[in-house]
Amino acid sequence: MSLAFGTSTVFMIIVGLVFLLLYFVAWSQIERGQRPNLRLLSPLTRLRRMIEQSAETGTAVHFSPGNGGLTGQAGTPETLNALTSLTSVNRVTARTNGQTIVSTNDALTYVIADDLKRNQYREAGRPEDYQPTDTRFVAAQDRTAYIAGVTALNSQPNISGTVMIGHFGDEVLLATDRGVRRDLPQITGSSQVEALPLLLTTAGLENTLLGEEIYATPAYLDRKPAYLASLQVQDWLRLAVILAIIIGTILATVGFPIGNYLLH
Amino acid sequence: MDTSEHLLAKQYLTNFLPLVEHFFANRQSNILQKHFWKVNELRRVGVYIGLIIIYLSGAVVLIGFFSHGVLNNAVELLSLWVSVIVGFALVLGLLNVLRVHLSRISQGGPQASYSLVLLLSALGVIAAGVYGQLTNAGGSGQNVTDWIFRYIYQPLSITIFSLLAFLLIGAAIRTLRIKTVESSLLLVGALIILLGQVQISPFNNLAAISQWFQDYPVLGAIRGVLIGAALGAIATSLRYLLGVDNEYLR
Repeated sequence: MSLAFGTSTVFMIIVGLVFLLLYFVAWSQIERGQRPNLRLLSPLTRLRRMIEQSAETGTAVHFSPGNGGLTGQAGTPETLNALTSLTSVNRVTARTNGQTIVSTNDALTYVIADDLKRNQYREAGRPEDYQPTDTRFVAAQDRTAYIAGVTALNSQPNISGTVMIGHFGDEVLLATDRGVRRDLPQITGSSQVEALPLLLTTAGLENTLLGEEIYATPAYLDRKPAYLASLQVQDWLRLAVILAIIIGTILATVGFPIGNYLLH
Repeated sequence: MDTSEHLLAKQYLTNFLPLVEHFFANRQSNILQKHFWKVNELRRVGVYIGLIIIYLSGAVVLIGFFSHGVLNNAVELLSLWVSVIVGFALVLGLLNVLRVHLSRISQGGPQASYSLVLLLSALGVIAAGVYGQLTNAGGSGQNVTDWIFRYIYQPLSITIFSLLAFLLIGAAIRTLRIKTVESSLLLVGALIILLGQVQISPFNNLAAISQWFQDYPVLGAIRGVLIGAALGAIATSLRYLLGVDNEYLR
């Protein structure tokens, strides 16, 4: 057994350990009552309102966790985050007597999403309201077939709002355009740069989570210390990255390219 | 229902139900509650077992990633197990497709015919694939599956993607109708980039400006999004590896 340690590997381990350390520091601070101030994210405020309105009107909200998978395909972190967000959405839905229809593009994502839904209904004391057909296996890692299924769901009359937060490519335009034509309230979000302009031009700026904002969804909806701590550490590290870029630029200008050394 | 049954039902409603409520309210003294407590304990033990599996698998994969040698076999074995689990999950997914579309067919309505076509197509492709595997790899079943993919699925897929061009124009026009500062900036940016791509004499000079836009402001914004998304991805992955996000185990 030999170690595959290069400079970049050591750098990765250091970043991971620093993240872990800061995470527990932030978590303990929040548990002691020092909660971070969350800036207003309009899409998430609208999302909560959308779920409540759908419960009042007896209609359903469609949730799409994106076209990513959980077994090494592109978009695994986005899909994991979407499943955590789905838990938060399901919790609100189950408590407000609402209904969520989930569409998935991956077999494992389908099984987990279905299980999460069943758990949330049981925890809310409404196990009899759980419907196995509310979680749908639309396609198996097929972007085209999946987006066709999502577009069809967005066209259904019993859907009064759609949430699409996860890994999407440019094909997402087909689904969001359908939503616009139906005047369907849409909350969208992706960290994929090819999807972001399309989401902005269809769902609108006030309904779109840009890049890392999708990872803030569980913290905003659930306000659990573990999620808030994770969000706070992301902010601290983002600040560290900005400082590193400034310092790295200055050092590179004076003839010491530290960035090249770390990445090789 | 005769009078005696009526009386029994009334007695049940007035006497028994409050007792059940009392049982649930008084945690220490009722047997039912203890039974549910046991179920919850078993569920909690299940969560702990799940967490131990997560920690072990995570540790094996991480050590395997940072080393060459002994753990490679363990990592390969875990990947194999994942494939097996995915196979079973796929069967569950297919059952879900059957359940959703059979219920739609039984309810009738305008969507029923689409569901019927979907089920027949799915079963047809599965039958062709199974037949191909049972006979031989290059047999007629395999040829049918290839034919379906090449001459039906791929043209349909390309057609759907080709719609994007038209939808994009529609979306751009809708955005420009909203007279805000953002939409005006979008219009200016889109015009510079588009005209910069056109090699026609009055717009030749725009190519350099277009390239500058793509090399600096656009690339900077993209890198900003990517760095933020990477930090979010690290945070989410660590939460799952630490077992903090464990709703799926409950």
